[in-house]
Amino acid sequence: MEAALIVDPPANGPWNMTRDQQLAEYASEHRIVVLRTYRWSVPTLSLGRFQDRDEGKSLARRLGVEWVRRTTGGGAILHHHDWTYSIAWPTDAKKGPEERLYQEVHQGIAKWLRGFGWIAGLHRDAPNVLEPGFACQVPSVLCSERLSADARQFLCFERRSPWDLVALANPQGGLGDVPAKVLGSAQRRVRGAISQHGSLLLAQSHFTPHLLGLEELTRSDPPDQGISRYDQEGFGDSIMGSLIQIGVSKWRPMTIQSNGYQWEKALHDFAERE
Amino acid sequence: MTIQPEQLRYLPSHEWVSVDEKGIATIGISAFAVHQLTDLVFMALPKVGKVLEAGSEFGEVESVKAVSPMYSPVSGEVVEVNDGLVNQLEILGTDPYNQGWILKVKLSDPAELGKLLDHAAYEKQCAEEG
Repeated sequence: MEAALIVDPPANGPWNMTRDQQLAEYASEHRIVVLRTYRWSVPTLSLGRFQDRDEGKSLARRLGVEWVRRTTGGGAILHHHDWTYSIAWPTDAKKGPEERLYQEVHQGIAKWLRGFGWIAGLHRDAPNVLEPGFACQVPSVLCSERLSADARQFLCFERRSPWDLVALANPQGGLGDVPAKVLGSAQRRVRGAISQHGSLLLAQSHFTPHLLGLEELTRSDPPDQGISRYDQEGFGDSIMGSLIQIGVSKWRPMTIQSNGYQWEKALHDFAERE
Repeated sequence: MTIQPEQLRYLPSHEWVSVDEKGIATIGISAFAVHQLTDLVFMALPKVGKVLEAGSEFGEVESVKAVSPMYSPVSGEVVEVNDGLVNQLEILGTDPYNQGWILKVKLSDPAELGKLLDHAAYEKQCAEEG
């Protein structure tokens, strides 16, 4: 199966979600895998498909950020210093998760991170199995007074599943020998395709300072070059390498236009949908 | 009357349908689908009175890490919804063909049943999907 790689410039929440929906429909119609990587032009809280709308709006208001509804499930994500990817993979009939898509993509990103000399892997393989909410126990000085325990549980990065990608804090950085979640993903089936979203937490956001990103977890003395916040290309390449493992035969950068797509209606739906 | 999976008709997307003598179609999802979904966490269902077309999406089910649509095998008006199921999704794991029914529809075109898979064809599809 062929694949297309799309790197879009930063955009707001409704545009990003509409674009992913358009690409899922494109993948279904043209039987081609579409991988897209992107950032968010403004800090945005994306809510899981069935998370409570009022609770999400209230949290976004308290944080002072925009919000949008995702089509995928799971917990809310504060998009600030992160890279997001979406994959649309043509498939028929089945229900439920495509476990292999999760595993290969997360393993591929972990392998890429290990190339920088860091310790990264799946949560199920982590040396210390930690309960959700642990992050706040790590650097107490960074804990946010702004978020209650309930609000933190609302967030994806406070939850754990076996396939989540965790990275180990550098002991020299003073944060202890604790693996923290740096990437989570979720899927949605549409007619003829499955769509998978995920976000890699690059750095701590002042909106959710209790959640550490790669920048804090891997800090060393002297500072290494590490990952560049602007090396989005390497992020996309690591994911495409994973997709080749599970059936993509060749890929190319591609532009998929929005001509003919019901853009205006979809934008409205994502901004207001229940 | 207890519904047996061998008596049902199926969509390739794993919804089953059983029609009684009054033309009321009971719809659910198969044991195979429940197994594929793994742990269920949420189900969104339509309201009574909604008119469905065969093959259209009538609701969504969220399992751990995936949201999947559910499609109607037949056309007609929704006359009853199993509201209690939403708070007891574990029933789908133990009895997906009786207590785990999802909605009932007043059938508008009985000829649509002939386009669905019978049990043998559905079993064959499941074996191929693994």
